[in-house]
Amino acid sequence: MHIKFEDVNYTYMLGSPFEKRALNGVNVSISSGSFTAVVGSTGSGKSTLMQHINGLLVPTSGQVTVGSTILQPGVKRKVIKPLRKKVGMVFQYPEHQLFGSTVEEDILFGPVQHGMSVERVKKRLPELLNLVGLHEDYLHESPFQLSGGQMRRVAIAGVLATEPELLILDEPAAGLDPSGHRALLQLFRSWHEEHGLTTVLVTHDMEDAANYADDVIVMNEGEVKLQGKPIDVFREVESLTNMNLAVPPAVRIGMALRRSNWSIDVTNQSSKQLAEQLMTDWPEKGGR
Amino acid sequence: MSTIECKNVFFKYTDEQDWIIQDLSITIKQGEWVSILGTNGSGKSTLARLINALLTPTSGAVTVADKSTDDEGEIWNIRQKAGMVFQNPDHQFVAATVRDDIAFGLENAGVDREEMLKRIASASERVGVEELLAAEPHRLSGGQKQRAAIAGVLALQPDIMIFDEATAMLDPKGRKEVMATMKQLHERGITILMITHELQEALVSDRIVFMEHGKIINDSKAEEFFQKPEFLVERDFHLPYFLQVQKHLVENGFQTNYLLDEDEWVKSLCTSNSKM
Amino acid sequence: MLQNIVIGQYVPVESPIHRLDARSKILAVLLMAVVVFLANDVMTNAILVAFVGLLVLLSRVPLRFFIKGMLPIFILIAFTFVLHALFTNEGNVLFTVLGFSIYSGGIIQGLFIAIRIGALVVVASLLTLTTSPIDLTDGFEAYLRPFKRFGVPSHEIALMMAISIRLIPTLLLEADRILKAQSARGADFTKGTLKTRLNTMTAFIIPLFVRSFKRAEDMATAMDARGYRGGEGRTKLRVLKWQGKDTVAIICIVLFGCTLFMLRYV
Repeated sequence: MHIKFEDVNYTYMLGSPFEKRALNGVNVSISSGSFTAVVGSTGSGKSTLMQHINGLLVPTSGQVTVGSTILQPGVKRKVIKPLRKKVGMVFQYPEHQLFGSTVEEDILFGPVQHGMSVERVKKRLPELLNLVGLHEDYLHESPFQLSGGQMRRVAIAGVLATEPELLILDEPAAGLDPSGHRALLQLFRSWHEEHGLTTVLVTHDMEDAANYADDVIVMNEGEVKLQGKPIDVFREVESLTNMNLAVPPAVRIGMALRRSNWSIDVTNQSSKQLAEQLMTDWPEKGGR
Repeated sequence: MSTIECKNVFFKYTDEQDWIIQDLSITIKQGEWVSILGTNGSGKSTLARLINALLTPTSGAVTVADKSTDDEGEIWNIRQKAGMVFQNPDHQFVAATVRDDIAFGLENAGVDREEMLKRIASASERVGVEELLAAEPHRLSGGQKQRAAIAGVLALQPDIMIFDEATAMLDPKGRKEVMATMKQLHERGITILMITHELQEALVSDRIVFMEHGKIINDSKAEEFFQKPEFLVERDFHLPYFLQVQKHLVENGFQTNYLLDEDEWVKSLCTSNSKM
Repeated sequence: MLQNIVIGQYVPVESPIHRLDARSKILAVLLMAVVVFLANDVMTNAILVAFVGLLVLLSRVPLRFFIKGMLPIFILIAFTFVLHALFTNEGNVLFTVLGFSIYSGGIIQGLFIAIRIGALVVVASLLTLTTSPIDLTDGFEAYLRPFKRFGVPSHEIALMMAISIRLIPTLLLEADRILKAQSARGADFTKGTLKTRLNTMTAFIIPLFVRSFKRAEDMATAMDARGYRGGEGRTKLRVLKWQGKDTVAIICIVLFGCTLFMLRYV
């Protein structure tokens, strides 16, 4: 599903002394089928932007188009409701939304609310659970007996069970240990490819953006500052640094080495690729 | 001077349970910066709670500055000596403003008001929250909240500070702030005990303690520990990028040992190249 | 979604009322609870409205914000007015609607009652709008302290209040997040049969409780780690200062009460 923001403004607590402008004239589009990372530091407006895609927030002014749905100020519930069926959303710390007495009940909540065929979804549950890295025996256990990491997997299964066409991930791996972090993003990336989804990943982790996304949008102070292919965006070292964003290490190191005459490609390459380049260009042995 | 000493410590909550900590012995001297690494469920957090007397060993002994955590009368002294900062910034902020929150521990300790004001001023200045004293917690960033928590501990003039995954819920900026604060505390001679699963953070400490199944399976200087990155890779730890590159270089004989500072490593490559 | 709740919010601006001691403001509200019932005719009610209006202006709370926040309560008060107008049979019949004869007495009585309740609610909201939660708890604790010898745990009550108030924004934020997360999964809290709606509500309430228990547990540990062991031997950073202006404020309220009293009986 194609997503398009046109002159979108959003202000929190409009008309109160706590009024706060979160989006400021945002114009951006996200193409159908892409895996797009929206990066920005805390308070940059990236989460606010995401919540416009499924109508959790409605623009104060401007317009958001998602597929064939148009979201404008004053948009009706009956317009938003069918949209939510198509858009899956994984929030930060998704395990906080668990409530079912069994894992199965919890995962089925979304499909039931969306009026999907429960029988059909039920049949797929063991497979779904395996996919997120849990054994199907957990289906009939209480989600609250599980470890934090397992709970998160259940919550994610609950979102994937609704078979969304568009997946929004808001810092899905926050607080996980590094191996859990990678496993989770890997899962989303392969789900994206297998199901031909449009995926939007909100993160402040530039390495994630570099490793998983085809397209990067950089937000700062409620505005879209940069958009493009990861490697093009990451070359803007100075403006990224000004926005308190870290450049991925491969680019950072690559640039430093290039400055002192190593012939290194400044791309987001793997550690192995960089090492190989270093070795061919190694002064004592080969190269020059 | 407060030395932490654990001798043959065993711990579990209930009889039926497996040991969470088993036969663990360790000595940590004043002024050290120790990272405790380990997978989830390895007992790291439990160890931290045993040192702060929030838990007492099922058998064995934990002493802080020669005072046993088993001694009811010493618990409050030990907690004052070994302050603790927890993971979730929202779950440890007790009062309605930063100033009141820093005061909370001082009020508990019965410090008189004049002294309290002085200590709040100096502690908040040291961690850089002096401008935020009147701020309410929900208007602070995660990093600011954690620094306020650090100031709250610092005001009690501890010898030891325990960080229980204190950066896990922060954004990169918050992490940087908290790490910088830790570094500064370390320079002032405070013992830092840091539980983490971020290797990037562990790199700056003096000593690495690696736990598995409630036991310490590696205890060495950080410098030595990272010379054998296979140990971490085998346990599914993700090496920082610059160490990954070094690993390839070492394996192919281009480099003999690992440099733990990214800038230093890059600089060494740069100078080796300019020799040509 | 829950961002427009105003009741219990503190608006940090500078004003003469903000600068008063919490104790004098609490006392003033209690006094006003008595004083409002002295107003019983057009004159005294008009004076009451003017006085309360003056207090609102003095508080420097943005008017639009104030009115927007009070709207739900004003609607409730309007409702009591209608009830009185419908069911009081005094004075002359003014007109008849839907078989109810509306008496002049009903309109007047309804109006007076609406004014009294309205005045009281406005004054009570001013207390929370102009007093930071922590000052408010300190104020309450000060009034509770004398009851300690009768076994009232004044310190614990105050601490409990302070922590609860401190957690309100956190709780609202969390409620908002859970509400959004479940809405994103298709939950509709406004539609469906009672049974489905109850089911949807559990999806909101259970996570909220689970999180609150977890938070309470963590917070207790954190308090332990920071040496909390009850009120004994505890010192306090905050000291309340009763100043001249506090005495003046109380005298003003008392004088105002006396004026109403005189106007009523003289």
